[in-house]
Amino acid sequence: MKKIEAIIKPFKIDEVKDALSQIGIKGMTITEVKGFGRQKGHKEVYRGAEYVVDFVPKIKIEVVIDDVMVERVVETIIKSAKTGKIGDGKIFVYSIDEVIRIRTGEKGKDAV
Amino acid sequence: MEKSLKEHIRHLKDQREAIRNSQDPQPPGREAARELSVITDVFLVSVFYQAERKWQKSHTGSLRAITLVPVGGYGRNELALYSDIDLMILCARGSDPVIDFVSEEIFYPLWDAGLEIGHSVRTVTDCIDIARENFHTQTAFLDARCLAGNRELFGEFKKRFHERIIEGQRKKFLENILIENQKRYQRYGEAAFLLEPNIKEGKGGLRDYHSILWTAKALFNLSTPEEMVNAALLSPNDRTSLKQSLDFLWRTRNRLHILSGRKNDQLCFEYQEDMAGALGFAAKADFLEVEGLMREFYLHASNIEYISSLFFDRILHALKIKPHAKTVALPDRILEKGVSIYKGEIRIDRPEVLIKKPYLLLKIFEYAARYGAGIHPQAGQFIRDNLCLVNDSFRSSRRTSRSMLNLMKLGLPAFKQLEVMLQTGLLALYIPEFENIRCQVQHDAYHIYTVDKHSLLTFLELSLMREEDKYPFAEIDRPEYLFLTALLHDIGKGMGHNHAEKGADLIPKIAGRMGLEEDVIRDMVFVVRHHLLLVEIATRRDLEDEKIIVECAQKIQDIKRLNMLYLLTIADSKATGSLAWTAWKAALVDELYLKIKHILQRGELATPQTTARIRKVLARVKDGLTPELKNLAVSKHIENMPGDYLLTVAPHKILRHLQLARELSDKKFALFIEAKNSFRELTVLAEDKPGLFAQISGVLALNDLDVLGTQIFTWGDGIAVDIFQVRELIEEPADEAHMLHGDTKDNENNPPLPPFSKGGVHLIPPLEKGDTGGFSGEIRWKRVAEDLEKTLSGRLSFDYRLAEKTTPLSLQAKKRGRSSKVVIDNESSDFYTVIEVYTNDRPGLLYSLARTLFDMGLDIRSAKISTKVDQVVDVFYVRDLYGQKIYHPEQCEEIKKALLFRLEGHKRTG
Repeated sequence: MKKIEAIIKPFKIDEVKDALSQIGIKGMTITEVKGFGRQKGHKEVYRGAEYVVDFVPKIKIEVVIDDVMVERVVETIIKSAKTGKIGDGKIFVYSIDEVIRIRTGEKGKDAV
Repeated sequence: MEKSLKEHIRHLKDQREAIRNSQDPQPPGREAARELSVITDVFLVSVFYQAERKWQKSHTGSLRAITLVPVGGYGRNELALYSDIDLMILCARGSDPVIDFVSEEIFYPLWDAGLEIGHSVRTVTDCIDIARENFHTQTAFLDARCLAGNRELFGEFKKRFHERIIEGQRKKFLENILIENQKRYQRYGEAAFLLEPNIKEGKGGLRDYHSILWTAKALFNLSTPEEMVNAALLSPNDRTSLKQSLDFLWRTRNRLHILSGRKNDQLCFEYQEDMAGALGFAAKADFLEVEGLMREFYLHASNIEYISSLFFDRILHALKIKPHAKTVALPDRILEKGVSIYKGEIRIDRPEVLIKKPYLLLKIFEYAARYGAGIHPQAGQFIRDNLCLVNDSFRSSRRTSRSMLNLMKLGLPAFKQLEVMLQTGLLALYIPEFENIRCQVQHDAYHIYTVDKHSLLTFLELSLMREEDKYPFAEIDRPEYLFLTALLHDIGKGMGHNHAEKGADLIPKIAGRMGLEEDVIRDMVFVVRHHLLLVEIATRRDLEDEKIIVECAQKIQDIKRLNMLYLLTIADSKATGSLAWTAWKAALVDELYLKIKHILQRGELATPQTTARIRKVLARVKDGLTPELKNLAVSKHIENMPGDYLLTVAPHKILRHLQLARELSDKKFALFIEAKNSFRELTVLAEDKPGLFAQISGVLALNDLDVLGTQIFTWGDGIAVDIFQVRELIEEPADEAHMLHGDTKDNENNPPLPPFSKGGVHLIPPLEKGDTGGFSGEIRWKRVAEDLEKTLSGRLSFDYRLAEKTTPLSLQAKKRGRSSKVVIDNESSDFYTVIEVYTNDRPGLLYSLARTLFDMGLDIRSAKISTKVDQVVDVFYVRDLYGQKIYHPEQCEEIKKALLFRLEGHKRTG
């Protein structure tokens, strides 16, 4: 099993969510996050009032899936989250040791 | 005898089962709770006497050494299905074999019957000791009654409890009650409990009523609401409505216990829907049955909360305890005839004062807010007794309207008064539209407050923002209208979908009634209608996309409205719940706000005039579409045209560009040339890509065309429209010119060249015949087209070719002007870095600049080139290849140097 963690632009969330659900991803965790990478925070001067953007708002999506799905999920996220501009985000793929559904105690694939 | 006990248990179980299975959608509330208590009494008494008989068989003496004492809720004769049975065994001596016996004989059957028991065994002395230490026990003992056993013992307990604990401690008791209430409100006032209220412990829950009962009993030895009415601690109206509300709460609580199958007093989400069905709520067109249930619940809870606050206010006054500690320093004064501030509280002499001057109903609250005064309970009562004075003429009176606006203007101090106005019903009487949103609930996890509460909280958040001078509050010149708008922004809720639209439609009526000015009303309508706009755009749209921002700016049109929207957006979100306003969301909304503001301030793209003009141009373009174009999906192009394009390019040219764009389906570019009097205008459409502008300029330079001006645009869907005004540097050789002239002559006889011949260069002849600006160099234009084709397919290199042309070009570079200047400006636009180049004109200049910018990894989004004699001002709007402005100072410096080298370096060689 793998966990796919994607950092994307906030306004892309609906598109990505829809695209993922179309390939059968039923559940995901979505978090509002802030950070910076190549797309640095910057300083805007607004009529003398400085307004500093330290961190850029982003959305983090987490999905845990069976190994065979990894490629499709990653492709889907890329396709739906891409604008071609800086700050489109990144995708991380992690290995997952175990998944347990709390209610039933099911493990592994069944619990995903 | 054994069998008989089993029968008792069976009987109790059956009775409880019957309650559990009851399907009555309108069951009695408190009556049912009382009945269950009676059923339990009967069971316990039976079991007690059985035990007594059993004891007497084997022992001498009776069970009279003990008393069965229900306490707490059971003591009050109120039980829900799974309430704890709080039962105390009061005994004469601390250790007695009878105690163990009774415990077994009484408690075991209760457990067998499946009841939860809160049990204790105490002597009278134990009771007094524990009551001294524990306030909860005190209140539980106030509810104690004697069920079976030794009555004298119970009498002694009552007497000693009263003497030792209550007598002489009244103020202490009241203080404790108020502290407990506060603690309870705090604990059950948290977000989780607002959505899923606790029927017993929450604000306006049953506990509020118990507090009233305990206080009346402990302080004045009054046991029933009737006695409280007689003692003027409750008004008769309050008693009646209190009874109704309590009944509703009980009905809900009973049903909740049945549904959850356990002791549960919290109306959790998972039960709310089933509860609504079970209690007979029907879905209405615009809201769910569960919302009906919850609204009813909150209406009753807020009623209980309010009556309880009135009760305690009266008690405090009766005991002469200052409820408004802060206002002690307020000097006594007469506000107007019959109305005064005395000891920090507003008093009304006689109720007739209000009848004579109905406007006081509102004015009192203005006074209270202005002076930071309280309102004496008596005055409050007068107001509530005279609410019938709020009629149409009251609502449309300028005097009341002024009071309302003054309240609005006061901001923070007005909040408390608005709360009271809401509770008394005055607010919903003055603004009848408010009635719709009273206690209105949205069944989701996001809106944690009822709509009326949320509206008031929005007002509060806004006033707090003013207190801390949140930017741009200082720019709001008449804050009262913003505050009023905040109070009314959700007035359309409870009317179905699209509450912002519906609310906006209500505003003219409300504001008109209040006599507000036309332009104020227009702003209010606008802000209510669009109060979700900023959050929606900020979280769902690409804020790097200038078009989105410009569209917002065009919608909003002026900074005053934008400021109102922005401040309301923040207050609204904060008042929705902690989840609704995060630093994350704030960052996005701030960015959007500042970008829109910037555009409005520059005033180019979003003034009412330009907006109207853009609308007109679009309409003319749409009208001018040929049927053929209509069939093709050109609306995508049209929707994506940037504002500056629509403002600067004439509609007929836009239509022509749309025609040309069709050719891009099978060609790399479309070229169109129009002859003007002294120059040619050349239009190139191509798919936008970095370097495109440099490539076209290169082709122009290669073909000895001097660029006088250019306007380049990019449609939002990625098509670049580059327009150049050019002049031929070198006349075509005479023979060629002749040939061409011959051609044109031929053309005069043949059918004219269709203005759009597919695949070729489109030439438009001059308007006037015989004009010298005829197409002298058709061959040149064909070569331009060929070169464009080559360069766009990567088959043309400019630098060496241009170098070969050095000689003829240098002929033209004659004058020396001032030295060149490059200015890099990051402030004019939120989306692009603006590079301004001031220099002397020379052939190939534009190519040099464009090429340099391309080499630096910059994407030219638009450019304005203007030539004045031989002085050139070239302005480029650029971003890096990632779509960002150029913020890095080092990079800016590098760009500057690179451009200057191109300009000055050339001068040296020239």
